[in-house]
Amino acid sequence: MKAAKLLAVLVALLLAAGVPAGAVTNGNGDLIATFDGSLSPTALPRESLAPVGVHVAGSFRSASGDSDHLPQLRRIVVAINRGGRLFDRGLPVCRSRQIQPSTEAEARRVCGDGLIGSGHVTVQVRIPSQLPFKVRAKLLVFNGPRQNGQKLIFAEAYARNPPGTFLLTFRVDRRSGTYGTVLSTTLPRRTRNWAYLTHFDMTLRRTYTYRERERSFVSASCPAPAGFNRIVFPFAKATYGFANGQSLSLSEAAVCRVASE
Amino acid sequence: MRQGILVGALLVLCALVPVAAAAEPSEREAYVDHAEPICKTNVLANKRIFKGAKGEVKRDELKKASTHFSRAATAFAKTIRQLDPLPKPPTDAAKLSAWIGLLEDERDLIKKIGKALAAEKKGKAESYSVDLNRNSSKANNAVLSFGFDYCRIEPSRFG
Repeated sequence: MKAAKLLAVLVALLLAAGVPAGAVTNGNGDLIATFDGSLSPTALPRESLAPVGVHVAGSFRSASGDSDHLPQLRRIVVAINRGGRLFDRGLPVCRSRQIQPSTEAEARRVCGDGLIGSGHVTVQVRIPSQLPFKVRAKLLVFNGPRQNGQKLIFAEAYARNPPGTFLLTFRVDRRSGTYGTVLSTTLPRRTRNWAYLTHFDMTLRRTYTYRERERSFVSASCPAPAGFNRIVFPFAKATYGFANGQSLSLSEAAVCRVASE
Repeated sequence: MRQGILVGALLVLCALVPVAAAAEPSEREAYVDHAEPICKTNVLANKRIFKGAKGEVKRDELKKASTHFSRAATAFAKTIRQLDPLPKPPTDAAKLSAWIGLLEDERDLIKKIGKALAAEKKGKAESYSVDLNRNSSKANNAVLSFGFDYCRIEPSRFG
């Protein structure tokens, strides 16, 4: 009883302190990285799972303003709270050859039913003999197959100026601990001689019908203790790996409230 | 400064240079795998062709320097003839055709530089060199996502 009361006080204190709004920041030398994550809606059932969208974003910049010498981001690992459940049964699967190299319109035509999210990336293009320039690309996220028992998610970037595409393959792992769902990707080999990611954002959200029931690719609840209708919880943790061996980790908390049932 | 531009053009020529997805290999990967050896041959040829050219330009031995450009244009034309018939992935066909077009413009500019040098019109050669640099960037940007190594035009390799 005493422990339960102590927990209630702690939670209340956390709520009173509030959750910092906006991205979290970390740095190493000249490199500053941010990570932003959120869940929507934030009003969720206490016990049962409800469809949600998961949004993650990150950016990379130079503290001194010299972005032309930032190390290349090679690996992104986003670990999401184990309370968020992924479900893909009955969802059409897209193969990488169907969506790349393709235009956005063609990919939607061929594999639109397998779309599970979208986003953007901004890439600084560095080619020797040319001034660096930025390219912003739309990201379409597709439900991928299982490969050697591991779930894949394909995020294809479509740029218009100059026109081009590249594919980020996310591998989904389940791990023990707070951040039980881990999505990880590495920069494709053929982009490593020119692409320096300075921003990414991705929202996973997809509802569909399977066996006459509404399903969601991502679902969650708001497991607030009895007597409380809001909680702060560790939402996601990002780890960025760079070509020069640097690694930065950032974690984001989020708030959910119990939806009236 | 102007000499620097011309020398820079030399460097631009020197390459179809070496510059380096997904769960399954794609048609694009297959195209790159076929194109890169063709471009690599041209890169190595240009290394031999342009040996000594930088010095000749600096010493204003323009007629001598012009022969390097003429030979490079011939070698580049051969490379384009080998690249053009490679089967293009259907969704990349338009992009690759445009790229081949830009390579042909590159070849024409190399020829023009050679002719200008042969006529000892250094200013004109430098002007074409600026156009060559600009065209190289356009060509590289057109196929950015292919991640070409040897097929990317990059002068600093010889710089």
